[in-house]
Amino acid sequence: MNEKNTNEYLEKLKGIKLSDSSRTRMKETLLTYARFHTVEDAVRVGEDSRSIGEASGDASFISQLFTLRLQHMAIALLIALMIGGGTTYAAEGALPGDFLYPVKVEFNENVESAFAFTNSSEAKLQADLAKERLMEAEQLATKGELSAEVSSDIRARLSEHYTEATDLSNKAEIEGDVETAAAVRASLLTTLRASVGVLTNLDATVDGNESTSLVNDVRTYADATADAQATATAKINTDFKIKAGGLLDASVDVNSDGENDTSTDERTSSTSDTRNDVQIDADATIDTGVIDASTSVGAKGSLGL
Amino acid sequence: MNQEALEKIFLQSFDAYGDAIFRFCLVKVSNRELAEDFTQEVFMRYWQALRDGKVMTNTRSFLYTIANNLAKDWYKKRKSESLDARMDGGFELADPGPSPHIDAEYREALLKITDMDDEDREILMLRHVEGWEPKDIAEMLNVSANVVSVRLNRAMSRLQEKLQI
Repeated sequence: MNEKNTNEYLEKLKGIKLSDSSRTRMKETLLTYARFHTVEDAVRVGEDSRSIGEASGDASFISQLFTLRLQHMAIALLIALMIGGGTTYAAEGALPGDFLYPVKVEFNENVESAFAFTNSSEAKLQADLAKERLMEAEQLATKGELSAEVSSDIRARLSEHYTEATDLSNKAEIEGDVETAAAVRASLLTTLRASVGVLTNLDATVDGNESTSLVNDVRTYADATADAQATATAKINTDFKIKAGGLLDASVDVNSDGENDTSTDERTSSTSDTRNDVQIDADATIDTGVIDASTSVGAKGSLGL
Repeated sequence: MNQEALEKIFLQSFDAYGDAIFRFCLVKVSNRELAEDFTQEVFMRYWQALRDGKVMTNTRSFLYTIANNLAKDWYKKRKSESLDARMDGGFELADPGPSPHIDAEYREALLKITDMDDEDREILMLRHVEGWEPKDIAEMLNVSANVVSVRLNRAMSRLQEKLQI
């Protein structure tokens, strides 16, 4: 092959581009990033300059702002109350370390919680908030800003949300709302598993992150949730069999169901080992979508598919 | 410069160089998602520099330097992991080509070039895919233009050898 052909070969690489969806998503993310790290902030802070390619994690800078922010949290809340909607809306996208973050977690989320009247709705909310905390961690980790301090703050908050979501979904289950309990666990499991994968990956690829303890917590929660879901699913099946009295024998192939695939690379060996003995025997066609979905997630998650 | 004006420059730079930086990262890390993450990270650091008031004499070169540094850090971290995993994992294209046939061609071209050593593929990419002049490559890699020419010739012959297989 001569040089001309080789050049043509290399030319082909020019056709490789970002997909339209990726480009749009990245542009939005970048613009959001630019608006959360404004020029005015840089001028105000003054020392946030970095050389090319230097790791962006700067613990002392973040910790200083954190201390400052904790002190001013009360003032931030007061301002939020006075200014109203605009500030609290703007706070929705805030990350740990941002000026409006206290408004988001101490004000907005407590307001949401106040409007969650039942155990089921509060359980759903807490699962959503757990997801929000993990997404914040992931966003910071992409920038190498998931320092030990921020990590520990997120761990504490995540632990609260996780415990609340689990306790309340158990209560909801006892009250008879089995569907919500299963849906909350399924949602938690998907979030937790995906997050283990993402955070582990970012920890390995981006400098400045100290997220090992956080990842361990998330993994523990994921395993516990998978256990709870498997137990609940087994119970549903047993109950259902008793009720159905063996009249229905249509079999459901839970594994062929593509719904709610957690699509995470993280499959710990212990997870798959301990779950292999859980037989998800869905030998009846269950019409209620939630139970069906939970069965599918339970089976997928627990068997490590 | 105010926020609005800088945002405009920021987004224009992304439009102008986003694809090229993505390609560069893709060839370095052989994984679509990771290459996208790196591209995003490159531009976030670029924004940090813009807001800190850094005067950009050569935006393109600046972006590639960041991408190159990120990739270097990544390689260092990966050394403890299996090097085979990357090759075994194969290639994921960001966007399917206009037809399966062309898609397969991209894939093949990528596999061949990622199979080469880092220095070879970096220089081949910059020269023949991105169309950089040897003097610009020399500036970015901090070597003389002569060294670039020599490396280019050698890398090209190695690629030719590969393609004959």
